[in-house]
Amino acid sequence: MTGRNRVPGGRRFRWALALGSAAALLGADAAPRDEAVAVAAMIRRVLASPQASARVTIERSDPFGGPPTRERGRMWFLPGRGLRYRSSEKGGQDVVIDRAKDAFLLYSPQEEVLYRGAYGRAPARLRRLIEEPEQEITSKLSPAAERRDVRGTPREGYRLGAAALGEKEGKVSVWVSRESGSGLPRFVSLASDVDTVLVEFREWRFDKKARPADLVSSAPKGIREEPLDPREFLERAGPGRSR
Amino acid sequence: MGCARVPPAASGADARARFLDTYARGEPASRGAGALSARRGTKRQGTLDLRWASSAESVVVVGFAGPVRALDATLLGESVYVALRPMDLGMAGLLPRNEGLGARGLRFLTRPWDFSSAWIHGALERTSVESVEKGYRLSGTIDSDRGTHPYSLDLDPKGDPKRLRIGRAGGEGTLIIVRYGPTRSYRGGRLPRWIEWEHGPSLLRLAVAEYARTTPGRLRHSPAADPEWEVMTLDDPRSRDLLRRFLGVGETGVEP
Repeated sequence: MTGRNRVPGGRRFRWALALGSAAALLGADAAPRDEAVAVAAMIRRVLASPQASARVTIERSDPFGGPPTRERGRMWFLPGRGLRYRSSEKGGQDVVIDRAKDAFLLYSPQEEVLYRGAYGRAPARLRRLIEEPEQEITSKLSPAAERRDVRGTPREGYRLGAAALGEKEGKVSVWVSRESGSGLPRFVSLASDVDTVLVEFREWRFDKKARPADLVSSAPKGIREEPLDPREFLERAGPGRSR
Repeated sequence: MGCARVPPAASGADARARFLDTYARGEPASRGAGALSARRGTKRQGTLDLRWASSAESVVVVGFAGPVRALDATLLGESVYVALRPMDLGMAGLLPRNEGLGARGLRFLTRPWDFSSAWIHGALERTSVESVEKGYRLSGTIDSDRGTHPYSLDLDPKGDPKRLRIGRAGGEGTLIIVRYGPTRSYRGGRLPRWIEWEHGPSLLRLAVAEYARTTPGRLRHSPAADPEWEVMTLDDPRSRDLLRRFLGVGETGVEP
């Protein structure tokens, strides 16, 4: 077998896409159906809230037909300021995007390394979401009602246009479903030719005041730091040379 | 069906016969899952949640770091493709014939429980067997484009593999050591609970969680690289640097 875990941030985080699409749903005022409009109005308070957070369960398919795997964690979203995802699994990662601190951080407890990059290295979609949530969510959603089976239970939801997420049409299939009681996003499914990722959001919490402390990485002080983008590392080391 | 314990082999020849009967039958299309951890010297380098599938001369590996699909690796005959997704980085090309054990050797090393390839099966049938402490040792040579490699394979008293050492061509130093954990039964057959590859200062350990049969149709090869990715050839110095840094490929061997 080949491979190892030195694979920090970049532009293709599926969870980022999922979080981005969930946030996109929060302002889905372009939905053609009354229900979608009602849902959008109900959950718009997420965008109006200085800070939103939720527990998330990320379930991904086995590309070879085995059972899916799950990871649990928590997400914090501070419009205008940043985003964080922290896995609650043993040795799970902690990812922070903080605009005010010009930081894109990935803490890997297993490696005991904090990968550090500038804010500008964070996925462009997430940066747009942080900087311009209104513009990010109100364009190109093209929601279409669609019922799907989630873990054996049929759920009403909406298939979104991939363009809403900055993806080419046909490349990624995005589907979102809301919690029937609260109307808040509950499931987001992303299917591509690579795999399928299902993200479940629970226990949404909205704070009256943003708490930037929630964007502080859990990495211990003094931990070894490395550049987030290994290409920077290669360029610095020079072709064929070890650092 | 009971779960009768396998009695110890009566002799070295018996142990080898049992080993060949179990591990050299030829692996049908299979898939598996586990955790691959890496260490370089005393430094831990993290863990990947690994999925793999194989059929004939194809091996496909997908690695996840937390929720992130981080690695795609495909070995098709002599062609290899590795994608480090979060880096938007790929490496592709033909395996150099004169490096290590070559393509067939690498295919074996990705599934070091399958000794059915004629290349290594034949060598095992020709091997000498000696009794060692707590088992038997099969010793002999295998060939690559670089020359003849000495090897030794230690079996436990029941004929299950414990340790495989392959020397460098010409016999000086060690190319790689593979260690096998205790065998257990999975849905797809018997397999060690864990496997370790030691190459130079790099140590990879795969803890096998699941092993099952699949159909060749489930063998999805790596999707094409995105246009914005940088795809390097295997002989690009930066590819060599990455392989050396991450996997120890190109490192000096170690003594057992």
